Amino acid sequence: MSALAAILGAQSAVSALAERVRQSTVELRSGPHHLGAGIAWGDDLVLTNAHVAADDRPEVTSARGRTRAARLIARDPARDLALLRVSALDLAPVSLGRADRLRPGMLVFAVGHPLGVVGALSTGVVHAVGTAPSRLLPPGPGQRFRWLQLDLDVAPGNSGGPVLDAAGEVVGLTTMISAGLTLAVPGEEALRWATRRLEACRRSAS
Amino acid sequence: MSSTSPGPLQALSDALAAAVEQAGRAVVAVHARPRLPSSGVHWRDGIVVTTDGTIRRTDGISVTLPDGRSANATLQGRDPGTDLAVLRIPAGSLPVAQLASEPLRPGHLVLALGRIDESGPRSSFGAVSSTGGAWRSWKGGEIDWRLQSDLTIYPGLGGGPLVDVAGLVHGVNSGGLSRGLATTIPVKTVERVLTALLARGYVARGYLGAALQAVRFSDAARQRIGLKDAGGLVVLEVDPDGPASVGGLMLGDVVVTANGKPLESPDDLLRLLGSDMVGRTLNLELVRAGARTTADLLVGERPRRSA
Repeated sequence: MSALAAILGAQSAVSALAERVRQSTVELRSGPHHLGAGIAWGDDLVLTNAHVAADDRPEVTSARGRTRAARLIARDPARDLALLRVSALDLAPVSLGRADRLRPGMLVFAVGHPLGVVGALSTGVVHAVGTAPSRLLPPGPGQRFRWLQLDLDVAPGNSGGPVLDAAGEVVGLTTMISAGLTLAVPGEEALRWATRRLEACRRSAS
Repeated sequence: MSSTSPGPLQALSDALAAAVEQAGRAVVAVHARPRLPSSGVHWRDGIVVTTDGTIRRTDGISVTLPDGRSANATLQGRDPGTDLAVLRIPAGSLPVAQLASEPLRPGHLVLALGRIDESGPRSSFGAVSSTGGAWRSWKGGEIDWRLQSDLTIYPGLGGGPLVDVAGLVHGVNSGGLSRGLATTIPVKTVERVLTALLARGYVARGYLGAALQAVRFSDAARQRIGLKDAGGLVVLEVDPDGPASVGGLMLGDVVVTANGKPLESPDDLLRLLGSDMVGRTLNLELVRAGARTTADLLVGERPRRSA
């Protein structure tokens, strides 16, 4: 493959993966000024950040523009994750992939709504993996967790949205900016948390 | 997307990660300041290059190697002008950086690398924004080539290398010299400063012992005196023991050429006063009391501020 063909191929692969994951990225509003993103994880389930789902009845808008009030199933402010149920919304669910194959320098992409721009794509690379040194993290409970540390430009409105790798897998959940770096909850940890909370919820319902 | 045949995007991503892994084998964490460590490049065996601005103590410096081990380092020398410092570590500790020989051009993809602990290399990504000729840093050092990129030098990445997509090193990234764009001290400057620092621990600069200011002759004066160019440097002050005084330079003299080169600004003269000129003769053409004359100065070594 010629160099130009490789660049053009990589370019169309980026737009294809952005377009695909945009269908699974929702808008989340709790209160008039609180816009965030969320990942459609099941037919009626949305995974997002706890700080995005700030009240019990956030409004979810699907990629096709339909809006419904969602119900909060679980919320963990320390890990900054929240799980919502929303019915009768045309969600296009994605599965959560693993982030443990990521290495510094690999390409990553984020989809979200930075400063209200709906479905915007950000492109960057992995800065580092593993527990971030406390010097790069704000004080608080986040210090004891693993984070994807990304060299990727995001802004308020990206929170809760997906981070993808070059294969198009959802490898994380955009969560915060610290020391200029974008920090994301790794996909496998978000999946483990959400699965456990969903099971607990089903047990208590039966 | 099929996982069996990696597409061009996956190939590019893997190539960038391979460049980080390859170049990262010669990148260490430097512990020479409180709080956040900085990065360093293992430039020659047992020699680590980092930025001067990240060295805040001269004793008790250590480095973290790529395999997680720690090693003691001693400060061999530093040059605030070019923001470079050189550390000695035990020889044979890690591979030596692979230096690039082809220059980068605007648009080339580049990575900044660093290391701050045993958790692995760190990187940021961007493209070369601007390149150009020699320039003088705001700290007064001569940098042989301008190399600026749009990538982010995150806390801790200063002193680390700028590498291309093949993992070859193009210079040392300086947070202190960066203004808006990330600025890299190119390989040529690192080599030149490194040689001087290894020889005597600092970079000597030529010294004349005179304060000069740019002036311009009127056309009439220029023709009357018989000067080719209108520019010159007027002598405002002379160090009584310095080379200028010894060579006979006087207040009010206007220096018009040095070693045959016309002088438009004090920078033109500073460029002729590199470390290689120390101990050599500089031939000046000057205008004194409206007439042309010459003076030969034996270039001295600029006194160093005591630490």
